[in-house]
Amino acid sequence: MILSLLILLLPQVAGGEESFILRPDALLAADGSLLVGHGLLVQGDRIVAVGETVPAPPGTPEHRLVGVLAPGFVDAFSSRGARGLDEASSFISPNFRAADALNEAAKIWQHRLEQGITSVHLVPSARGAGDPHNLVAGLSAVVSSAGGRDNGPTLFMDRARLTVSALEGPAPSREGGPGTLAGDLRAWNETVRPALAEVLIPYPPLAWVDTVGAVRALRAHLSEARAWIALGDVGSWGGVLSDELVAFSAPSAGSLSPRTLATFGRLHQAGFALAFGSHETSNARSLRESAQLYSRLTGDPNAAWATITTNAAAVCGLSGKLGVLAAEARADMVLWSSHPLDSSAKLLAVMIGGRTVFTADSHQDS
Amino acid sequence: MRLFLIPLLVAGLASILPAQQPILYRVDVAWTPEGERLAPAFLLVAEGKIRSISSRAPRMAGKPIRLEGGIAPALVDAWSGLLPTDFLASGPRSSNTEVAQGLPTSVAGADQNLSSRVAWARRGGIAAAYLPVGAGANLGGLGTAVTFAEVDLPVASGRPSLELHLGSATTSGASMQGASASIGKLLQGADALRTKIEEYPEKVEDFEEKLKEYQEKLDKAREAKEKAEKEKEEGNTEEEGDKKKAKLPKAPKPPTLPRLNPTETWFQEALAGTRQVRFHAESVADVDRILEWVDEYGLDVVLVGGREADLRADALAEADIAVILAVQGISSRPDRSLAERFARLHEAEVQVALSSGGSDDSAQLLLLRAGDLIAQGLEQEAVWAALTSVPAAILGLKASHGQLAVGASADFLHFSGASPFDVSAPLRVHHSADGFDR
Repeated sequence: MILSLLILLLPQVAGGEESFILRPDALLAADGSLLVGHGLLVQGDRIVAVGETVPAPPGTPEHRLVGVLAPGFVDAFSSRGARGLDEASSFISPNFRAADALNEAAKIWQHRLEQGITSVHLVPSARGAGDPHNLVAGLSAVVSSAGGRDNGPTLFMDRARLTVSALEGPAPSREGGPGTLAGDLRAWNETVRPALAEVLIPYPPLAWVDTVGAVRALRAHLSEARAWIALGDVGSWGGVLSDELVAFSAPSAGSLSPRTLATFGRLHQAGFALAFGSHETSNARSLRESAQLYSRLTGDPNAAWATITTNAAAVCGLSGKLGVLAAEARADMVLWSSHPLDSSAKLLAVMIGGRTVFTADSHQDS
Repeated sequence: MRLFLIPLLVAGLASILPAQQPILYRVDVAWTPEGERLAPAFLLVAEGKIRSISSRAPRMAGKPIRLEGGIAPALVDAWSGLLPTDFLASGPRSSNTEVAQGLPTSVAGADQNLSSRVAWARRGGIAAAYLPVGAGANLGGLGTAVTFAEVDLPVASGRPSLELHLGSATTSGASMQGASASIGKLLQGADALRTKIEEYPEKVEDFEEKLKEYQEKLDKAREAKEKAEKEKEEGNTEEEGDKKKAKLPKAPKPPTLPRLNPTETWFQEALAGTRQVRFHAESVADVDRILEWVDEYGLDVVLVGGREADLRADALAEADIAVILAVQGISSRPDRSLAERFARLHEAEVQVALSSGGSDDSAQLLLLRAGDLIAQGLEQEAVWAALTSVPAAILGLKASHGQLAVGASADFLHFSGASPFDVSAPLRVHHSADGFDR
């Protein structure tokens, strides 16, 4: 394990199309293993090449970094950092856009940077303020935690996935809309599918579900590019999703019953492609902590690593673009004193889109 | 790239060897007491205990099983919530509750819910814990330290302590109001009782003197009576005889030794310094009150919770009061973060233990949250001691837990990463009762 002896922060790059090479003590491969002796070429906001040797024009500045360079974490789904993600006007609101609900002033964006989270998937809520269920809740958005005005959050993708749902909620509908799974499915067949055939095509779907019945019914409606957000007692019904891409609420203090812990162990054994989202929690630390806990529960650090990087990026519909240090990925990186799954690792600096947006020392000074 | 499979395979072999058979492990590094690192280290385990630990293989111990990575003692949770199911389901506890008396028998199935929770705590690296009575009342009864049996049930071990909850550490409205005053009265009452008990031998002596005097007076009275009766028989006038009739002396009343109920007994032990008192308190006002009581009554005290204990760090250090902090909860103020509070106490040389705070959830996160303190600048050694040797000492388990030493229980963590805090590589737990967990 490589430990930082000196803190050499990420270079202060102004952005634009400038190129530079970063050579950390080690960098993290997509599977979470450490690669020693590798460098990384950044051009503008993108990573252009990664390897022991990187092709770069003569004169390209090269920066030696003391520490472990990792991709920024990706929050697979969250409602924090936005205002009014629960559309109340109708149980079908395909034109609602989470991007419009972004709250740039929310303090959580700063907290996310401090925890190494560079991308957050803001997902419209299936539980609307009016009806219990928004069957089609609207379009999700992927937000970068910094790099916008006054270094606040900025939209990376304003239309990521179309958020849908089928839930077995106990609450009755106040507006005559669906309030149970039976109601949801009837509405899907009679109203939603015909009306949204066109809308469903351009955007990959993301479905909130909490039962086997909901998953089976929605599979008929949703394209192969789908992903799921699993709610409720997943231990009793989640097996139906074993070959799917699934996001779960980050387990945190208050939700770690023996059953929950055992469920995550079994999901891993079943080979789930699993991602964590902070969902409704305002604790930015919960995301990394979830991956660490998953590593402890399963004994599989690589699977744990994927929950907040590659799998989470896939839930955003941005595989290869986020959550990985690879050519063509966005240059969202975090420098740590050691492997980020080491709970004693210190975050040193954060780069988003090729720009240094946070350094631990400058933050301490401020 | 690490070779994970080899240690897993050899440890798998180790786990199926007969438990009573001595097993010799060779590890890259062992975290021994006082921050020392033994590299490489040979650990001989037999009958659930560490028989030797050294940098050279002991003679006649056979070929060692190679474990890649390091080992460190398992964790001690000085404030756990692993109480029996019946106990949790019952209503408010009486003040003479003893947790040790309510533990289930160590047989499989005795309390399956608790077994499940204990199993996860053990997988989280916890080998010993303290089970408090609860926070429902100012006077909480007697909690107990425990270790864990093979069937994942707690077994009373170490030191039972008297628990007192001050207002800032209780959720009961009735208890919050006037908690300090009522505990003060309890201590005053106990002190008065102690005075009575202390005065008892003197009163017995006094009684014996009075008894002697009484006997003498009684003898005289009997003599006088006999004389009077004799004179009567001999024909002396009745009037004269009646006049000479002596009064019988009044018998002295023997002193009574106060009969103590269990609670009163625990308080007396606390005042004598033989019973540890765990004060659950959060606010600085409550900490001040505890310091006054320690000064007044000479109690052996541990402070549990202590959210504002750092504000009295020097006084706590001077009074030799250890503090058990919980890793749960997040402060919105950076200057009141767990790291800041821990650092202030540590700088003042207060003994600090990190605990789950009575939450099963936090037990799973104990090691991770502790690692975060190191990331925030705390010394690794101090944090590690707060998870192992310090809580073991508080619980009266110093000889058996919290350190890798000869005679200690073979409860340890085997880590493949840089430290036990590093979960980028597998970490497994070795239990004294049944070997490796997986």
